[in-house]
Amino acid sequence: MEFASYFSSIAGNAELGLMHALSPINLFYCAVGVTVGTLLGALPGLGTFIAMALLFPITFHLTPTTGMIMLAGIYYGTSYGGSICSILLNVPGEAKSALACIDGYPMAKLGRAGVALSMTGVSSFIGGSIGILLMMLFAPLISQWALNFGPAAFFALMVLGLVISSSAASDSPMAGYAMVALGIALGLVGTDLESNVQRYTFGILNIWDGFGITALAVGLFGVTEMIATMRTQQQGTIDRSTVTLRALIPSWDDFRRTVFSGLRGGAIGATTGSIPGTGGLIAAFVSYAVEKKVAKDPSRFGNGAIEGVTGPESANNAADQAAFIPTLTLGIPGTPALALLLGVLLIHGLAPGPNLINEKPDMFWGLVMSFWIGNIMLLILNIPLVGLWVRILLIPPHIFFPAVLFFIALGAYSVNTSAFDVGEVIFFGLIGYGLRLIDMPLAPLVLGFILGPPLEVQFRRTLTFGGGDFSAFVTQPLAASLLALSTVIVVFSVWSAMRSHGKLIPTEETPT
Amino acid sequence: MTANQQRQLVRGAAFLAFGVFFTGYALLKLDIGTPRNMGAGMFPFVVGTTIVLFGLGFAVPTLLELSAGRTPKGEPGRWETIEWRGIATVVASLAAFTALVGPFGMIPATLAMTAVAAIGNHKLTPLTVVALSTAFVVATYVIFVLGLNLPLVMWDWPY
Repeated sequence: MEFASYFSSIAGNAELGLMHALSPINLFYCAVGVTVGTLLGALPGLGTFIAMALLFPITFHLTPTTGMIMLAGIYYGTSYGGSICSILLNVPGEAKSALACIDGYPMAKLGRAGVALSMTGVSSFIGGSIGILLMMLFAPLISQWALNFGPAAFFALMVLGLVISSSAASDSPMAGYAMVALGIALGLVGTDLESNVQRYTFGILNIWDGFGITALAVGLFGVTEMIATMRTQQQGTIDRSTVTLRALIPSWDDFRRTVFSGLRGGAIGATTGSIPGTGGLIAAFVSYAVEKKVAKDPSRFGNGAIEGVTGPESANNAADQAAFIPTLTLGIPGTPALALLLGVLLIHGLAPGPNLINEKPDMFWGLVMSFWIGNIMLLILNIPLVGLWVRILLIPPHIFFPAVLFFIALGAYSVNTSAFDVGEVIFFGLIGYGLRLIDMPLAPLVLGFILGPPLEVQFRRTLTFGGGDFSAFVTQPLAASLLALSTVIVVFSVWSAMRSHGKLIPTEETPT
Repeated sequence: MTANQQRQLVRGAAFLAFGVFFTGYALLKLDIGTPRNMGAGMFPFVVGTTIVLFGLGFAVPTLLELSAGRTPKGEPGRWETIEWRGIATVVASLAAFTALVGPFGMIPATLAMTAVAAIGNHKLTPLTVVALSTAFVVATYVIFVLGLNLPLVMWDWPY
């Protein structure tokens, strides 16, 4: 393909997308998404997944494009919000913001919270921009390439995506894999579309169409979290004087360091983030290590080095944006939270996959261009308006408890105005809490639940086209190598986890 | 037996039980079919057996360890305390909403669910309950009824 024509087609599509993204309704829901995302991200304990699950029911009543714009806004908005909480309270809003605590909180203690917050906003924007640019350049190419995939290749690709995503979800990779399998099983409940047979419904009419993705997500994440944290919620103390508007202004040196570390972090995040399942946490870790390496005086790290905050934050935002690449080009969620984004497509009867960009260019490019708008909105929300979020952190958490609970109930109820759905939420909440007690990661379950049905379709097609021969999965080189890679990852990760825990294979007997 | 070992056994038992149930249902109630012409039960059967294998994967190494009398190296681990009060409060509160929203509408259901939440979480005073419920109902009306045009019944009397 000629480069010039490729670039001009991207430019043309970007213009089309911008028109869609700038329509009043999309603009409005983009603003709702990023605002709610920042708010829920800033509150300790409520991570990306819960925020998305809570607002997911609203997407039922919007067009798929608008729904995805809002949900995506929540997704990348939470990481801006998460760093506020890390810097001011030393409590990460969620795992991937944990690195912002290491140097961010010391900065706050030195009275430099304002600079830390404003420069985090700037570096998050840099990282986000790099991620979006990468997506604009490569997403059309990848989906073009994936259009020729047969069912076996798709099956193998989904398996690989599930394996990578779930192996990173907890310190026990086997727990992650088991949860994916459980999620696939739950996704099979309902009417089999091929044969019209009821599976696992036990005569309950309400689940003939399967479990609701809203009830599942809200129950597993929202209810479980509410149960686990009701007693322990604590209010933070913040010195408000450190986040006045004047305190936000960085020195020239701060600004220079932010831009360079932001660019490095963004490059790291955009590269690692486009691999499904790696997510922002790994990118942030790598970036922190790199910043420490390139610094002239590494001893500043841990004591309030600004690059220690801005590098990882940029990396984590770049990774978040790049994770949309596999999600939208292949239908493989780049992070478990993005599985919910695919859920929006599914409830509107659209199939995620490489056809999306060709068949719905307005949707794809509208969404991509809304990322620019959303990130600019976040820059405004997080720099001049940061005082607002600080004030929200001062609201006693016991007020949020009934509020989140109410939103869980209302959200589930509003989808079909059916009280049964709220009952389903309670059911999944109890299952989720039980699984939490035995330390099982919950995100892989949702991933399996969403990818389960398409996995079955491709499984069936592969075998039918292959004349019932199981070797059909490995006759094509692409499918075979993807499946081989998945197997290697599973075997290696389970083996090394067992080895390091000294469970199955006693590595060295310690004499007693 | 360390807490980590106990946890592995509980994981194993739970996944084994669910996997056996899931596989059994596929075998007994669904048509498995042939690989060339698959029935509705083929894929569930594959998934179910995988879950059984995971169950064994959790439990068997731990059982071997226990029977050999080896203690695992590293942290013994510990159990998270079960938040009975949290479970009761959250479930009762959501159940109150579920029970009331159909026959009586949003307003009574919201008030009841917030009041029940306050019984479990005593930082919430009656005044806060009323103030919060009012705020919730107004927000619902603005967002869902005016904004999204959903026909949510705010107040109803079935008798």
